[in-house]
Amino acid sequence: MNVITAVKLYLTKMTEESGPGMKILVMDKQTTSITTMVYSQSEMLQREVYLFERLDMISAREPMKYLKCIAFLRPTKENISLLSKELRNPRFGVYYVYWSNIVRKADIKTIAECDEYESVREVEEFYADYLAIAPHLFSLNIPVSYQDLAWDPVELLRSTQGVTAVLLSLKKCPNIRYQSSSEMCKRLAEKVRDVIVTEESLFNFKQDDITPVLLIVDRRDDPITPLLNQWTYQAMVHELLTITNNRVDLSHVKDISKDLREIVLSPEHDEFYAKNLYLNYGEIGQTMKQLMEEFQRKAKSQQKVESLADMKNFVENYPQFKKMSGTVCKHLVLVSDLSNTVANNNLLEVSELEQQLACQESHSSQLQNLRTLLNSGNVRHKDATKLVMLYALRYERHSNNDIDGLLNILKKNSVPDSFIKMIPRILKFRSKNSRLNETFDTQEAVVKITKRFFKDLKGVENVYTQHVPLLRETLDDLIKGRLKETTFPFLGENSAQISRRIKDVIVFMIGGVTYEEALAVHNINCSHQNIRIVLGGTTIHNSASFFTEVQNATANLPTTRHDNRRM
Amino acid sequence: MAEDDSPVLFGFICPNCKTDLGNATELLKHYEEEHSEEQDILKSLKDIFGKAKKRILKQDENNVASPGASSSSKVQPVSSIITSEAVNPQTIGSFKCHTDAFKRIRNDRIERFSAETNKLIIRLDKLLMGMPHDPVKKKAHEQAVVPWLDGANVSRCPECTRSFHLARRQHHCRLCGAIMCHDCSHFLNLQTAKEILMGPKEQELSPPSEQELRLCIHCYRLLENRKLMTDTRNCKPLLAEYYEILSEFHKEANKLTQQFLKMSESLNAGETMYKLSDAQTLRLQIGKLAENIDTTSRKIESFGRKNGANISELQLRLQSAIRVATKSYLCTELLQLPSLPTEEQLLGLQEKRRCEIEQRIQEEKQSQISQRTPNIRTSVSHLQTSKNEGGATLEEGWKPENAQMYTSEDPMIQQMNILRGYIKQARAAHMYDEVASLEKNLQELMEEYYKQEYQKEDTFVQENQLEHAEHFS
Repeated sequence: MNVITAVKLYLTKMTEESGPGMKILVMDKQTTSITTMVYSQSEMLQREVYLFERLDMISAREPMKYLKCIAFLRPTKENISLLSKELRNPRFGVYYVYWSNIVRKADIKTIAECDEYESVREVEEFYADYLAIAPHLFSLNIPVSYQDLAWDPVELLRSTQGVTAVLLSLKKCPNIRYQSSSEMCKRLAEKVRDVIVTEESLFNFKQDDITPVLLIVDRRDDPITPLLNQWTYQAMVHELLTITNNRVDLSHVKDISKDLREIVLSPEHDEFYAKNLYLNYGEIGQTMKQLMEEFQRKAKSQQKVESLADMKNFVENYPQFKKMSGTVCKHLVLVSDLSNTVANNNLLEVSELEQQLACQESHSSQLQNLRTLLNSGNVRHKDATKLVMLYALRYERHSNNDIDGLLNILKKNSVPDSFIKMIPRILKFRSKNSRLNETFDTQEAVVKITKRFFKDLKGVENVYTQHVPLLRETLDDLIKGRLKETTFPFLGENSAQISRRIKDVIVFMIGGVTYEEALAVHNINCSHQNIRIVLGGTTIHNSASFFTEVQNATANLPTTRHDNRRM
Repeated sequence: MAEDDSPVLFGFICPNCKTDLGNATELLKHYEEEHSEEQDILKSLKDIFGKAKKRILKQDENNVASPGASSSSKVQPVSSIITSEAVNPQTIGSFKCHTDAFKRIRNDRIERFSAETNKLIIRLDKLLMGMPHDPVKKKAHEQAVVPWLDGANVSRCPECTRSFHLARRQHHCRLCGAIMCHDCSHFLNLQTAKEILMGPKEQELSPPSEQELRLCIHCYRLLENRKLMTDTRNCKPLLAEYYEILSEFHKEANKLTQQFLKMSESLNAGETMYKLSDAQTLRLQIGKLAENIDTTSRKIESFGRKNGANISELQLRLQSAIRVATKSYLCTELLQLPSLPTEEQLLGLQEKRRCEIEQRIQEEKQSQISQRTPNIRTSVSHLQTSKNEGGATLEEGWKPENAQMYTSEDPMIQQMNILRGYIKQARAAHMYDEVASLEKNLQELMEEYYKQEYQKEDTFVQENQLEHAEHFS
């Protein structure tokens, strides 16, 4: 169950089926991202794929018949018509066409009828229809899934395709469980099942005796996680600098050299990153230091080229040395930029309060701290807004809550109106019967809170990483067979017959996942030998992208103050 | 601890159906046939046998059946089961092939065109065959091949719908006989027509003839398409040719580097399977290949850069991409080959390895000393002697003295000399694996030879002794 391997295997097969010869890879916008997530350009060059082109942005029309064309496309209407156009007047010698998802028979017919030059050799469906970010993490790059807190129909289709592609590429035909409190989860679950039923022959795998589980959850159940500042390397980079398709834009850094303006952070191709992406901020400093020392030692040995043996060594080690110096530069710039941001924006203090708000129960002292911090004036508007959002989510039903007072402080600090509006919006966004609310209401919650209380007594290991995402608890329950069928029913099946044993789990979160959750899943995978979980979401959120998501999700809903208070 | 009523089974028993299969190969075969769905178990079984085979199958097939032999494979299989579970490589996800359906639909459609095109080609052939120069006879000839449509009732050109009159006269397509006006006619040069029929002839670049065939748009398009298709099938630009050369070099280089890696690994481990000088020549050869690859890719990159003009931007991108790919290939694959030990280092390594082997043999001897001491001792001495002899033959190889030996009557010596000849040839052809296996054969032969010689002496001595004894009696 490794999604990166799954996509890679498909792409490898594409380059192999066309045999030897010069090749061009023609893609659309989405398949371009899918490809670049797992294969670097230089790796593709070694597979004789020398040119890359977007089907919707064809640069030149003159024929190059000696090229073999590999077309890797999503089966959209636009692509079908573009490809038909291309085939009516083919520029390349032969075409190998791969669709990233299930394609309609009628579309196959349309294309076949355009291929008058008989240049198409293969037409296949390869289900690499998602972005593989880590072995256990995938995304569909849908920035906004909600439309008035329900599915945007386009994105529902895309999500269905994405989830079924994951199932097909991993050869899993699962039992589907969904979060009952979310209508969207149910819709998606049903759509996925429909595909499994209609494409029965495709889903006819030889499976282990333990049926895999597809678990569909909704971001609205846990709006807290994406609001928190992160302190593990990958999550931190995403929160503070934003990772887009494994790329980080560093053009804002002063005096940055040209090749570092945009850097690639791919665990597949950057060993240092792969080793350290889950380490926390303090540890990163340590390993960074080690890396520097090792580099300096190597640099020194590179400098002395006296004897012939030295020369030989130099030539043999130079490529590695060069690679290493590239890695060192990249991460040095990255880490120093992160530490600047942290220091300039008072992020440690902000994060400590965030964690308190998310994990601990002491309204009056937290309110006090929050007021002091907001009034101090050295907090970014965005962070101030997030703190008040967390407070509002947490103490909305507390009898003495002072959301209005905090809103006034924000206004006094001239926080933009669009940010202030986020507070009622997030309350709208959070699902009415979110299990987070339960935590503070029900009996069961008492147990949890006492547990937390004891944890507090023992002292927290790291005040900045106390928070455990709700997903972790859900998955722990699932593994122990304690996940309630009232909150997570099976779709359609008679649940009494279903075995409680868990082995392979695919979790899909509508509304996006976070790197914090990815780390939580990684930890579960590491600690349970027989359990493999793959996590996916409509996108990978940081707080900024989550703001956009919430804004769009609640755009047309009334967000009056009155409404807010009544809730 | 076992329950009384269920007998404990020994031997090669299938874990699923509890039948006794007698020996390991049978069991494996049975398992593959009967229980192929339990892939994991099969894999671990295979692993066990794979590991065990290496140790056991050197002995006889019969030996494998004896339980003692399989138990000698110790703990290894257990660990191999664990790793086979942990590794368990992911296979490619499911996929669906539409090619057949696609081709069926395409063929249905293409057939209509191709039948039409074929008809036109046949007519064209007939038209060109013995076409008279005299215009009147020519017209008759054309009408004999293709009946022309009667123009009496056609008042307008079917293409442009303009009416015919004195200035706009009716014309006929020479291939289908249809009517059109002059503006809607297309003309096919007779030279091109011949090319369509016979295929392009590059050697005789005759100038395009004056004569042309008048065609309607439909026939013209069909012929044009056909010409385009055959042209693209046959044409091969310079770039493609150079690229083919480049890939040939690549293939060759890959083969040689693989061979070289094997050899250097073996040499660095102190084995005597390959010769150091062979590895060195191979290395030189790879270097030469790398140079060839470099120059070819440079040439590809520079195509059309100087005079520029008619080369597209895409092709230029392609050319530089090929160059970049080649550069990185050279850097990562060809220029980073591991270094070879020097002559002295090699001797040291070989000595070290010999010591290690002897030590291991000693250990094994210790552990099995109670069972079959004599057996092992002989095998050890065999090993040692064969090592020495092997080294000697490797050094001597195909030196001129062998010529004298060639005259020897002994068929075994003849055989050995033939083998030496083969080795020489194989070495010249850089087939070092063959060299190694041939040398192994040679070694075995020599062992056998010395053994026989030894026995001869032995029997000779015995006979002598017998004679002596007779004398005494």
